[in-house]
Amino acid sequence: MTPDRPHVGPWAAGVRRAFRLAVRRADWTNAEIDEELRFHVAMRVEELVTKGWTPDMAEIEARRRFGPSWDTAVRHLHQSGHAREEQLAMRERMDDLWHDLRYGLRALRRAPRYTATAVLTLALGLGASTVVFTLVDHIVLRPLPYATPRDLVVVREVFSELQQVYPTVPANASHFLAWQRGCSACLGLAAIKRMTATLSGDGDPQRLGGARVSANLFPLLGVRPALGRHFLAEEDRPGGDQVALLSDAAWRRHFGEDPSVVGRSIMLNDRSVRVIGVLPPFADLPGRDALGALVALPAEVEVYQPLALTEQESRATGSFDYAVLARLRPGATLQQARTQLDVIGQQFAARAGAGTTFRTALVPLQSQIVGSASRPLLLLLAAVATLLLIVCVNLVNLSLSRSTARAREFAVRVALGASAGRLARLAITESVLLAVIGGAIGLLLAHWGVRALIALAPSTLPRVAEVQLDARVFAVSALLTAVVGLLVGLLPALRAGTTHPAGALKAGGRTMTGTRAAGGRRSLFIAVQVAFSTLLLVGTGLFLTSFVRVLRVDPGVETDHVVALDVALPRTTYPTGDERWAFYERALSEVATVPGIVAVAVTSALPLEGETWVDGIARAEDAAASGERPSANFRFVSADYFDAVGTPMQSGRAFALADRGRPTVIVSARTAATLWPDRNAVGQLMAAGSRTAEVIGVAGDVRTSTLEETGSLVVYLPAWEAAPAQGIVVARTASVANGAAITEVRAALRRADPTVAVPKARTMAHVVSATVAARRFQLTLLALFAMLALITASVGIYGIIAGSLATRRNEIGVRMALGAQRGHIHRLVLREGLTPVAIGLAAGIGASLAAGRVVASLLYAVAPTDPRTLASVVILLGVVGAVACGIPAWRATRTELPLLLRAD
Amino acid sequence: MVSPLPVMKGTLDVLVLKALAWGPMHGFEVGGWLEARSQGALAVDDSGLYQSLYRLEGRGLIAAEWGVTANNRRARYYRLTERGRADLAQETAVWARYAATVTAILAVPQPAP
Repeated sequence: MTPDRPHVGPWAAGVRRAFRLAVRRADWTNAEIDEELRFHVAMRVEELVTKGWTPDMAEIEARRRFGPSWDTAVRHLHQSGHAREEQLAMRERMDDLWHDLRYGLRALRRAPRYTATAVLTLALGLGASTVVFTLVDHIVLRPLPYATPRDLVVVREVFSELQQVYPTVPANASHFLAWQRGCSACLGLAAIKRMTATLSGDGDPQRLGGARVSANLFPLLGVRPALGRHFLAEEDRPGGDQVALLSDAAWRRHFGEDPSVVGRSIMLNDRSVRVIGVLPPFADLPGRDALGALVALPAEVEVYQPLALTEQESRATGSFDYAVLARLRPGATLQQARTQLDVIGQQFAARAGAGTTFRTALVPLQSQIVGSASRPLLLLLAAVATLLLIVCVNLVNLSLSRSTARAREFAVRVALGASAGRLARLAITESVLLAVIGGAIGLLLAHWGVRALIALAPSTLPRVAEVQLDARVFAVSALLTAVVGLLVGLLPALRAGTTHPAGALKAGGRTMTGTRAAGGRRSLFIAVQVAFSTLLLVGTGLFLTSFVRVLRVDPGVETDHVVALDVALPRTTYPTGDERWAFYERALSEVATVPGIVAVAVTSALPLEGETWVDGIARAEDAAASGERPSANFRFVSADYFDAVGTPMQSGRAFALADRGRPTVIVSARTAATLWPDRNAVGQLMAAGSRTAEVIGVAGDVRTSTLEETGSLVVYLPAWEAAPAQGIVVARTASVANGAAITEVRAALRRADPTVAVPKARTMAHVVSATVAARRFQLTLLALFAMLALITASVGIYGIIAGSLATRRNEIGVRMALGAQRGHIHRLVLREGLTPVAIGLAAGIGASLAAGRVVASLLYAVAPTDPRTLASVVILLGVVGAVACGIPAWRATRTELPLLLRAD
Repeated sequence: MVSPLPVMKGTLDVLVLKALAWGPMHGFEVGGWLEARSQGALAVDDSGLYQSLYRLEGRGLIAAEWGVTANNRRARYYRLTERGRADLAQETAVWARYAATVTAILAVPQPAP
């Protein structure tokens, strides 16, 4: 006990505790004080009487010395006595806790291997789960940073003519206007359209990501500008729209966080535009196709202008370009809103003619934004939960083996009078200590992990900018730590509580064969760890196979020798297509003079970067007939495009300048096969959109958006017909394309016109790499977890077998003394260890077959039941299991026989 | 005869610790010890004495145990703990510095009126 108690001795603490328990009650404390005071008064009376006082007077004097009122003094002393008791009780509890902690730390220090294994396993498990939980929490679980986000929906159209390629498309402007008037279940609808924005002024012109939005968009979302104000309704009209809102990021990046920018004019697309406000952080619209396919917003929207639909835009019947958001009236259902919008759609369908239908699809904004990302993230969550389970099994086993090894120590303690509760508390304290240390290291790992993850995350992962380790996640992690700690501590604690000293002292040190229950427990632990590792490894194997197969897909273009640079032509200096084409001719000839450039061309869209313009196509002779038309993705390219990107011509020829003035078209191989399955497409006439043109060539197929999807049919039109304001200059290099080539091409473009912005440049290899970024991200994390699981499980199996052998050294000794060969012992141990490994493998394979459906949609060109993957996992785990069992077996039989027999 | 000085607030605790540094005593003995050492110059209120003992016990500077006196009476004996001993040394040093400082200031001669 604590040294500062009187009468040192083992029994004193117990006596004192028993005593304290009694006096802690109020009346006992009072009685004790009364007795002490009675004694004091008696002593004083005695003293005074010897000095000649009469006993009565002495009694009065003795009490008087306690102050004017005896009763008041006694009352005050009672109060002080209670305060003292409370303090003492608290001190005692703290002493016990401190003692337990010190004891726990000492015990852990004495078992460094056990401590290190447990702490590291726990830290890895908790670190990994905290990281993944952070990710899932911020991206999937947290509501969007808008007011009552569950009432926000994305409105998409289901357009009969495009339905085969695009199940849903963005909205048409006239439909949107009609919905705005006719949807009573909606509090409001707002439209968003992408916009290119070139910011000019000092220095080089800069291209910003932009969007045109309805004036009511931000009020609808519930986003209040951090500075300035929203758009006004009268600004949402052609002519009134010379105003702009900046995103928080753009404000920081381009305007140095200067609040006085609000009210100032900036040059945007060569027009003077007044900045009226700055949005708060994280309020930006999600970029790219996060609001649905074909929306094609910039990756990051930095500047907003009013939608201000022109007369022409609001009457265009064939274009579906607008992302539409609606806020449902409180109480209204998605279904009600959809029914109302569909009724309006029918009126349009009636006008459009027979066979055409317009329906709407409403998706809650949250699921639209995180929808495609949530499945892989939830899969990662499942993976990390599996890892944590393996960690827990391992920890429980570690802890149990430890308590087995310490059974004797505990037995001695019980014999010396330690209560069951006390021993249980020691065991729990030790586990909690482990959990706290492991948890702290785990949190540190998580802190680094989250940062690494954000750096690693593909830019298509929504809301990744919002991700940070925060208090909520910390709390969940702490809870996990506590649960793991207690779970792990509980079993040995219960066991310690029921330790029977006599039995444990007799058998504790020298169990001959280990108990049957312990053997069962070991087998179970091995089987469980192997089963969960199997699940993780199979998942990783399937993802790895998918990844490799995706990378093997031929994109239809050359990847190593192509650079691509975006150019943005200002509309004021290049208002017409002819003027733009003149620039491209100048620019292409400049680039062609760069040494090392083999071919150069301009295009409106790069392979693997998405489709923007999709329209119906037909054979010219069928153009008049109604009915379903195949739809194709249209791209404008200049003469040397196919040479420049390395797409082969299968028949016919590429565009030539001599074709100017004659309507010509080049189609992809699949387009040719679709329209003219029975003859050569070259020389045929084709109706493409509103024009009819002669097919002069058939080009190889390319992947338009991703490596995984075949994509739309592709139709190429000559760039001089409608030279794009946002073009992409592609150049083929003689040696492998790199940054130096990009710099030279950029310089050549500047020579053509220094006022033209070149916002983005990349090699084709980067484009390919970007399309598989999400897949690579998932695979990396999954592989990391699987590796951690494999390490944890193999360390666990090794530990279990080694622990089992340690308690059975005598048995092995006796067997060997009786003539058993080493090989025989090895086989015995291997059989004992590998049987549960095999059972775990079988269970794991069974579980992964059952879980296959869940991951099937995330795989590419590989079935969840892929026998090669399953076989590899079985072999890998079998080998790891055999090694983990074999090493301790081998070591056990190397020990000298006498040592084995004597060992305690 | 000079009337006894009232004990300055806060100094009683350190005096009690000092008394107990001589060995375990019950409350009455502590009071007697202080009276004897001060030769009656300090007026220790018995109520204050016990308040001080309980306070010190609560802080863990002294510990109490029931024992038996030479005359076979049950009495509550107080004993200095390790922490109490350390506290006494520290408080003594502080007090000495404090007293020396105050004394030095008070010893400065008065300016001529």
